[in-house]
Amino acid sequence: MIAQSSLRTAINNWLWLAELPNMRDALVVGEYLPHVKAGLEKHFEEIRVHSLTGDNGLSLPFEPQSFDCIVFDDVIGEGLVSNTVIGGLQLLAEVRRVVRLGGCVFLPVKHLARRRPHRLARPLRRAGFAEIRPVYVYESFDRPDTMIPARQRTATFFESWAWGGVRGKARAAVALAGAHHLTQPSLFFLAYP
Amino acid sequence: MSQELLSLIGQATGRRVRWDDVVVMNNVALIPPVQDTPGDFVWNRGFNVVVLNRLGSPKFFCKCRSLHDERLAHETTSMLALRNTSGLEHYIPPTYQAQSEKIRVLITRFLSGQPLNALLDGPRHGRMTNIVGHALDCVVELNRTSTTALPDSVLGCHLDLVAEAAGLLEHLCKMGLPESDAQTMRYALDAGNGVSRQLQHGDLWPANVMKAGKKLWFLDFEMFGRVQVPMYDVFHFLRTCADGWALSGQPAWMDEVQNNGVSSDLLRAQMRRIAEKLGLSVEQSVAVLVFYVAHFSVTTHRRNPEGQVWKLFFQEAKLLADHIRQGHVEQLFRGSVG
Repeated sequence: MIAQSSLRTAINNWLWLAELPNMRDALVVGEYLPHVKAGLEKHFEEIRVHSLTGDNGLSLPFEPQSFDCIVFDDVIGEGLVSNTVIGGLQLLAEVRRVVRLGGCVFLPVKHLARRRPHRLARPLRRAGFAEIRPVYVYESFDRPDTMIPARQRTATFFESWAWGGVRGKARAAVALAGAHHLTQPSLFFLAYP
Repeated sequence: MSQELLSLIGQATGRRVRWDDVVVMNNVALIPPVQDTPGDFVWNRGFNVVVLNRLGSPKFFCKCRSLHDERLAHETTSMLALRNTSGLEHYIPPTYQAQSEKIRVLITRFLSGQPLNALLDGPRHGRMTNIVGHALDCVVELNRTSTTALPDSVLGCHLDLVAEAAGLLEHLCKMGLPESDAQTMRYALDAGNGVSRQLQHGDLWPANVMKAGKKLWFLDFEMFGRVQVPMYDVFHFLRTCADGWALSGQPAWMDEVQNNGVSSDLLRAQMRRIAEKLGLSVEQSVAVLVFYVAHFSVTTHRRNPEGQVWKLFFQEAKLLADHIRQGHVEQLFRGSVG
């Protein structure tokens, strides 16, 4: 049995998929979970946390272009793309302001619920991010066994390879038809200013 | 950072790799690893990557681990050496390596065949016998050729089985093996001395053999050469084949080997055939079987002493001692059982 702590730290391997030429400082927006802490501390020199509770508003008290990386927790990430966080767009614009050019924003969506990635990415686009890369996480955020770029060819390969047989063919056909979001449970966005 | 991983893979394989060309798989622990936690026995800390071409066809399989992952370093060295050995290039896929300050990557050409465990779904005679027999012939060739080609990896020519297994038997006794059983195994090991060392794959189960057309490719060389007792791979391959065939309630492997039945016949016939092929006497064949069972039981226990799995294999060590006392194991290699 693999300890849950290992699996949960594995989610932080998204860092190997992110374009981050510099890894000096990161900002965590939301709850700073132990497994996120463990992952970020292995890569960044300095980590700051901005909690959205209490007196903290949706504006970020930092100079423009202050961080190489900004990491959302999954609850806020979900709320931002679902437009259920009041002032969510303002917060994303603030994030866009304080992330450095050449930096990256990690925004997880724990429950995809059959929503198309490009629709979920709308708030990020509105906030001014120039490039947004969606990556599926299978089989869940707590068991992040596979990370699949949300593209037709990668999703088709994954479905066919991982499932095999008739089931694999059926799932691969869904992915090939461009509906890969129907078979995937979670994803994260890597957004670049 | 992505550029770091992707350019490492790109430099090693001579092609440009983009972020949406890679699928991360078997992602079980952070690179670099966090501190060990109690009850966590993950040894492959890191993840694997499949690199696709622009049409979506898989081209490369990459194992990505921490730079300090000694197992992957060993596997990389072994695979590169074996791939460059004349006669083995048909068994080892094209292999490349890359590393940076944090990560070590072993890259092999993606093999589009099927692992043997997907094909060995039952001990039906004919096709199954052919597949298992062919796989074992290839294993013997791999073991023989690698031992000749990589003399620096062989720890001296003479193999003292009693000394080699001393620590294992001691550990088995701590696990609860009666001293009388340990003594029986010691005698069997002593009677079979005089075996020459032979490099073994060390983790040869059907999932680590890929069948692509008529060719067989061997994978996962993390344990290569750690065991140098002949037939270790053969026994392990056969036992894991039998595990795949077994239904719930089936007897332990040691009993399965002694039973009457299609799978038992196949197991015995292959064990006997390979022992003869390697020129092992009956006593030597028994001795290497004792070593295998002891080694595997102890390895399973060491890997997870808190779990239940090791108990199954520990029972097999006891069963083996019983069978040796009753003369069944010798008969197995003399060919008079079944």
